[in-house]
Amino acid sequence: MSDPRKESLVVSNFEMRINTADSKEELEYWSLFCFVFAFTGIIFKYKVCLWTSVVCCVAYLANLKSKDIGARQIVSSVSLSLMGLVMAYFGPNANLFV
Amino acid sequence: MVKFNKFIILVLLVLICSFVSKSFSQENDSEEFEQNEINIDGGSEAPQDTSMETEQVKVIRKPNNYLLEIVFISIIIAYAVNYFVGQNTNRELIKLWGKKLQPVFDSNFAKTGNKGTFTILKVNASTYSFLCTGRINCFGLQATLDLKKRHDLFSVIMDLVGYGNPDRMTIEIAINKENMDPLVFALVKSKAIKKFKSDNNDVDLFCSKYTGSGISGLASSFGVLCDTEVLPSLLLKSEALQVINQNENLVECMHFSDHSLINPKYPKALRFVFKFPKQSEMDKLALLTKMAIHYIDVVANLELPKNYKAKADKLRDKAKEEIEKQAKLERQEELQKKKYEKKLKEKEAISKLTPEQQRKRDEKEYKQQLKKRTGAGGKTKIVLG
Repeated sequence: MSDPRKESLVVSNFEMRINTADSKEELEYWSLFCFVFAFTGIIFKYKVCLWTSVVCCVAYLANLKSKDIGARQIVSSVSLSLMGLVMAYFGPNANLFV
Repeated sequence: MVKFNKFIILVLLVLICSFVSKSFSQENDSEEFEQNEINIDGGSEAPQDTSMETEQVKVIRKPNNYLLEIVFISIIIAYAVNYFVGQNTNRELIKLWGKKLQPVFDSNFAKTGNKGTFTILKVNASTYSFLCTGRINCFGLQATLDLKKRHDLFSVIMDLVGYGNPDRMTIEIAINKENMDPLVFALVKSKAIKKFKSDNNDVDLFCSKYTGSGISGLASSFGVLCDTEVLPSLLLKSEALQVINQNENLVECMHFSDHSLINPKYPKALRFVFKFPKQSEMDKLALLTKMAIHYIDVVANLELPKNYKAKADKLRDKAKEEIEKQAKLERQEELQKKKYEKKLKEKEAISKLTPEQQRKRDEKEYKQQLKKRTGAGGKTKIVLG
């Protein structure tokens, strides 16, 4: 059988699949959970919620794609969950946290 | 529902943690309480000691309160360790895949990978993608490797419970032959036919389940969907059937279409989904990949008998007409909606007018109607009798 390769038929920037919606949705859920738990932790003074938001934040970071890393969202979710923890342990009202 | 399983596991974990930590702290509280009582009884003679007691209580309480933190920090550490271990396992699997399949791609495509050398792109810790172009009859091939999310602790737990997805390889090929005969063909596991139809619009539009005797050698777990009855006998030759039957548990679906929705730029496309075999049996995957590449030439050079080709064209024309009809209907509906909204707005404007303005408006309208009745020339018809 003849050689099927052909240099002249090379397509530059060939890409077949563009949409990968499923994993993106999951990522959004992780960041959403991170925010929700952080807010409930800060408002109702629950340490459990704050720690859960940190776990969600870690899961969010682990599932990030190298293509769609947006600095703004990462910084906001990480800073919010860390802020909750700092408030719970080093803040002026640290003794209020259950 | 499957998407939320991970979150359910997380919530369960959190609930257990909080319950355990609470029950522990309650136990210690009661102990402290008892201790306090004893201290108070004993210290009735010296009331100055109370400050010392409270300090003691604080000292006792502190280490017990850290249980929650210890539990969560251990979860985070476990997650981090699992991340690196899982990522490494996936990388090793991809390396093995590359080693086994590189000769197959190298012998068929002029350019494998992005930079000329054999490179596999990492999309995230569990998804890898591989591109190659430069072959007759096709624009290129993209292999997407969706491995188990071994880097994600919750996915690992899900996998242990039995809800995880297997490692998968999806091969998508864009055919570049312009005058390719029209065809939509799919080989799917019988159980998954309904879902496959709802996911793929082209199959739902053109195909029906094949019940003929043209493919007697095919394993019973597969079902065939096609737009013309001649396709199975043309596409599933004995060699291909043998490979498919031998790897029955690895082949998930094969989908050939001239109306593919994967990428609108390339409507003529082939798609294969294979499961990963055990690491020692990776040659099976190489064989399946060879079969997929072989189908590029088969589909590109396929010639349907004239009557079947006419039938396929008819189906497409019909579908096109239906789509156009629907578009027309939608446009009409939109126009009607706009008209209705305009009328509503006018009514609202009238209701806001003062009585004087309303009277003037009515007069104007009456005059206009009169003009209309009398016609452009201003002649009036008087009927006598």
